[in-house]
Amino acid sequence: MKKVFFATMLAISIINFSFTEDTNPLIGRWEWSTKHVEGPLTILAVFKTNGIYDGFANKKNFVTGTYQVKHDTLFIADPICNAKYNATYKLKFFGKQDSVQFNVIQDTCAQRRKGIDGFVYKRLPAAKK
Amino acid sequence: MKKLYYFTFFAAFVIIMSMAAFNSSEPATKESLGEMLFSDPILSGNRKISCSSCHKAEFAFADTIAISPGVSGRTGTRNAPSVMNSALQASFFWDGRASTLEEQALLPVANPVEMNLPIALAIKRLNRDKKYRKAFYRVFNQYPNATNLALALAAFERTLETNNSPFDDWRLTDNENAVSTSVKRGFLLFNGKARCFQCHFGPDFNNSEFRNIGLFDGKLLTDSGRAVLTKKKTDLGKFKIGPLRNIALTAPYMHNGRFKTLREVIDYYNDPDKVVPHSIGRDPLLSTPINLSEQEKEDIEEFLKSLTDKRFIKDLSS
Ligand code: HEC
Ligand code: HEC
Repeated sequence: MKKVFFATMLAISIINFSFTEDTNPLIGRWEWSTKHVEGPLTILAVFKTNGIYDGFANKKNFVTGTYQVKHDTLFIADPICNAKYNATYKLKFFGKQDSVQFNVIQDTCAQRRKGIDGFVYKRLPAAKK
Repeated sequence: MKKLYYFTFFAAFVIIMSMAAFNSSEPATKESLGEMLFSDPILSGNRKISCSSCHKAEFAFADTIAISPGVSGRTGTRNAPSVMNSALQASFFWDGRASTLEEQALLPVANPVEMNLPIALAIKRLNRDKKYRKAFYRVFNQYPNATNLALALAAFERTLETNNSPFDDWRLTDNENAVSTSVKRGFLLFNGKARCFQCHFGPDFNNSEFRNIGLFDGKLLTDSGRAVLTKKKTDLGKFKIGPLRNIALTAPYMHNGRFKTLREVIDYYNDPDKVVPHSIGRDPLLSTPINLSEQEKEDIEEFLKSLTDKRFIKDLSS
């Protein structure tokens, strides 16, 4: 009985582990662009394996925050809004996970909502080291 | 005979090359026309001062003195900020009195303590200059006028974006060797204990707000900043939050150029009362000392230096 318990625990921990480490579909670089009168604006989001993400505007870093993906829900926090508050967004992937749409579930931070709610980001090839 | 052939060939080559060079020095885009105007003293009353007299390329298009002299050594009251990384800025000047680069561009030309040339005269001069008359016509299909002069200067300024600092490299590529451990500690302090990030965030490390950091006391420090425009008492001593890219190159600091080094800036924030004891309307975020250790101050300084674009780092090391 004990053995089964441990085996199950192990299986669960492997599943959890492999989910966050390998199959977290958000890991990688995602981009969204628009054109203003003043010129083009490209937002790049880089979701890293360590639960940290970085946002770039025209390649300039403007935010570094934390995130977690559980099933199709994104939990995301950043120090501009409030590092201790996790907003939630539903993730909708398209194609072979080559683009993703963020739809707000709950986010009290208007600035962030304006930047991501409803937007479709395209996946970029992995970064060159 | 062969010699003559080579000689002719060589001569032709030189002529063709110099013609090509001549052509390419004639600006064919808004940006290159703006670049030429930016460093041409034709836009000043005494033909001696250009935009680049105060916004020098080697210092990230800022200056290294507190108050830059304009025409005939006349001086204003404020420090010349960097003109780089202006494409994403929401307003211009320390008090934000211009909201676009086009709106901003003609003000220094006409300003009596800067270039002191009425715009109408500036336009007349450009139209009398064959080179400019031709270049404006080529670029805008119009001869020089106030609108296209502003468009050209602004277009050039928008090319001056820098996004290749060691800091960006670290964040973008996961290259942990891009910056030192001191920079990494400094980044954490900047975002946390030192509270800098509460005001300095965004692609250029400033948001669109105006805040009072305590450099107004109504007696020795009398620039009322934003309040001149809004006429609101609550805006007394508020200034545009300074963008921080390439900040290591643009000393001295603040609207009045009061601090000579980044270390002086950090010491000020650490305990503002020590430097300006009777400031009026200082931001509540700065109401208590931060209590930074020497190491922490150094780390924040190192972080600020990591925001210098690599093009300047190359210049410095050569
Ligand atoms: C005599 C020195 C001087 C000259 C010449 C000069 N500037 Fe400036 N510039 C300044 C100072 C000082 C400020 C800040 C003034 C203020 O905030 O009230 C400034 C501010 C600016 C800003 C705003 C930057 C920001 O982010 O707020 C821009 C853009 C700019 N200048 C462009 C120009 C252009 C274009 C020219 C030439 C047409 C020019 N300047 C000529 C001294 C100068
Ligand atoms: C309350 C908002 C606020 C906080 C917090 C704050 N700053 Fe500033 N910062 C400003 C404003 C506003 C200015 C321009 C003030 C002026 O010229 O009077 C400025 C200017 C600067 C400048 C000079 C920019 C230039 O071009 O001259 C530097 C450097 C700077 N801040 C660094 C920091 C650091 C480092 C911290 C944290 C220790 C910090 N700031 C915290 C609002 C803030």
